[in-house]
Amino acid sequence: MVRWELAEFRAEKADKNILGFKADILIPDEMYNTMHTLIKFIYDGQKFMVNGSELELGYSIYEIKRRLESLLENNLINVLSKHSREEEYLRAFRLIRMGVHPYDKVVILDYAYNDKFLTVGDLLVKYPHSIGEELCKEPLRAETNAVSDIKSFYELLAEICRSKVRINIDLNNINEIIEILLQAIEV
Amino acid sequence: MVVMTCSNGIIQEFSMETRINEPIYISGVPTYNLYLEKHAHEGYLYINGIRAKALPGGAHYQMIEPQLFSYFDEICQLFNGNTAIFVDDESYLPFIIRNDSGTMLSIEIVGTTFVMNTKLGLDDIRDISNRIERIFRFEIIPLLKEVGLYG
Repeated sequence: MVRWELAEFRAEKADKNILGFKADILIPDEMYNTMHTLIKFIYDGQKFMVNGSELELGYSIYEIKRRLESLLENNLINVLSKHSREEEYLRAFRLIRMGVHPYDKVVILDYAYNDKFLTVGDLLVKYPHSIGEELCKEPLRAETNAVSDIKSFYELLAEICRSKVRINIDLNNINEIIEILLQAIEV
Repeated sequence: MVVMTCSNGIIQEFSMETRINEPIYISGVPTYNLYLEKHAHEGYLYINGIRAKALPGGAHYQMIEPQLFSYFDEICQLFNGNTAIFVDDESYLPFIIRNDSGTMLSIEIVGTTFVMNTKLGLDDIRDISNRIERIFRFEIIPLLKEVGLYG
């Protein structure tokens, strides 16, 4: 399997339960380390596209959908849902890679439910793809519009700390989805 | 909001707003909203800018001063050097902690969004905040209630 890096991954379930996702993958050039080829995957609920062309996935599509559904059942999204008074019209999960240590990556995780969001930033994802004990031992950033007072904000911070295993499951799901897609286009 | 500054584990100054059901008389005026203070380099409690012992019933207030300040010292002992702490007066959880090397914790409210930046891990923040909350809930507030300066 070719070496790849993830720039951004977004999964969402929007209007009328339509599942979608997009992923921007960087494939480093074998000769020039600083150069990358960008591969853009998009799924709009009907078709998979890769760099603008339709991609046939066969039965793999069910595996990808199962993993996307799992990402959107994240406990942090479910916590956000408790702070929204509206009927569900959007749930979304996004991962943005910010920087690269020699083998580890600093990422931002973004969760959304309707108009409520939670961003957890500057998490260190250790090689190959897991959050370690550092999750709540190292500085991080958190931003949300879901709570209305300091006490609820602290409760949300506690939920982040309880989510280490779940975040690792999500990272594994993303990794598996990308591996399936890259195999499908025979990179 | 409660604002306090510490130096090497000792409370230097604090200010704290409280609201009471039974008024105390300040300059003859029944007063329900209190502003409690300790100034730096002084070991006295001030209530709405007046030294507590000068108020009617002041002997009671004076009696609790050492105990009250020692409870604030307990909070200060969580930190080294000079530290400023801002505490939410509903939850008694800290939202800003600054020391000599910069801001250790900052929870800002921008519009409807809470933004937290920290130099500490969440485990440390939760440990510090739990201890501050407990000292307020189980020590400072009950003591203030005893002499009618809270609730």
